[in-house]
Amino acid sequence: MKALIYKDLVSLKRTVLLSLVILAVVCFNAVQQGAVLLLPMIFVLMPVILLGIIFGSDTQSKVDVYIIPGPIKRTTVVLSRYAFIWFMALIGTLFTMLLKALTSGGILAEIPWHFIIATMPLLTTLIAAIQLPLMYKFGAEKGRLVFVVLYFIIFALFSYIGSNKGFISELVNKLENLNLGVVSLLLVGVTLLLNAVSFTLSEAIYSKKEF
Amino acid sequence: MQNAIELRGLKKRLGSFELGPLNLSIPKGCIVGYIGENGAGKSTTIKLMLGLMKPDQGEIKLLGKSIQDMTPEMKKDIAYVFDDLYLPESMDLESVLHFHRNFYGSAWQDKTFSELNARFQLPNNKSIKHFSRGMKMQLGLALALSHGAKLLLLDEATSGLDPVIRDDVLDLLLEYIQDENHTVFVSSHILSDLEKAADYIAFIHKGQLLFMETKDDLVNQYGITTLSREQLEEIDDKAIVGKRTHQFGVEVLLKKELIPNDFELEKVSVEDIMVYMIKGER
Repeated sequence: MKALIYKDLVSLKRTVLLSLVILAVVCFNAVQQGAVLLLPMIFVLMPVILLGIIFGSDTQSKVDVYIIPGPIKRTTVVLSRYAFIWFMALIGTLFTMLLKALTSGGILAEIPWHFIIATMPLLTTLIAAIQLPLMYKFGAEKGRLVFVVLYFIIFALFSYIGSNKGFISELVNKLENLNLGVVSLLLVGVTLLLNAVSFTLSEAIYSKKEF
Repeated sequence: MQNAIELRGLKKRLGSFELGPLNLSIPKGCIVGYIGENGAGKSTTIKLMLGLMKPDQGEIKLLGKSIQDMTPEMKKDIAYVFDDLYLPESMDLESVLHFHRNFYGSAWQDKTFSELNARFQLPNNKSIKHFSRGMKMQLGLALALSHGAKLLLLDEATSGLDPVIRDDVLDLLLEYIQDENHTVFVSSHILSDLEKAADYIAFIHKGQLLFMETKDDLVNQYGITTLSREQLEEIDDKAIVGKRTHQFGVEVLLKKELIPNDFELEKVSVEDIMVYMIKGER
């Protein structure tokens, strides 16, 4: 699996550098405008973008033809892709926790730690978990069409969040009344279930694939 | 003795094309040339052997083990080179090396790879994208030979290469086969290359294996000659493998054992046999 992750990183080399630059600009802008809550959302978009690039590169080089006959199981090939997404989710969660630790006021400060730990993995893996089985089934090209639809949904979500700050506070208050600990546990359960179902589907599709 | 490759009743349907049932036994320690026209089923056979396709029916054994039961560790004994490199084009030689060290683990042989790399003089500072086709194939072969594999499968790996590089590849195959535990199965259109290197020739036509014979037996079994129409009528029909009519008579490929001994026949090449079997009228 190390070899596959290394291959993905090589494919992403230039893109990662560009992404880091964009990330820095977005961070600076968000902090300037006091919209700190938008920063963790970068980690919702990043896995989707990077996943598209990796799949695109793999499709172009037909690397599966080289990998499958080699000393590796098909399950490991699929797992390496999920490992990448889960690593991004971990980074996103840690980043949000760091952000909360560094900010003294605002909405982020009001959100409990356990809620962040429960929400971020769900948000960062949600789109990829839906996309990956589709990409394995239909290939990178059709997968890109799904990306476009998902971009619109995410941007609509961002706009909604941006224009409804009151709604977030209200939601947090409501969730606090609902026992946020239980909600967090439920979210963790949903995240685990979603990823498990997604992985099982992708694995089943990939194991039957012919090249 | 255990066979390097064993195919039993192998069948695969792809649209209107059907491969097999294919039965093939390839002993260890030889080079087998797998020939046939485009679409005959050569690549499909190799893809089935490598697990890139799943057979509809039949069994495939490589190095004595059914491919379905092969562990990743066992797969390290099998090397393959396709008609393209199939690695991300952004990789350079260093990243290709790093990838393969991780991919093959303890089986990977840095020393062998550096020796082959030095022999082919592949550029260190270029990404694969800027490699010529010849360089890509040389790299593919260097990678395939650097993890101690016992079976090497090549699918049209030499097509589109210039004669000098093809000769390098053949030299390398002949060196590799010096170890009696090593086996090479190579599908190619370039039959002159196979005539130089192959011990056996397996001929597939429209998904069916027509024969697998030692190269020497094969060229000794057939002969070619030009006859008049009258002379042709005297020949046993079973002796005629294929014929081509032209203004000076009929050129025929004949089975030596079925014709009179006093018949003068020219020596045939593997290419003659393949072309007559496919194109020659009967």
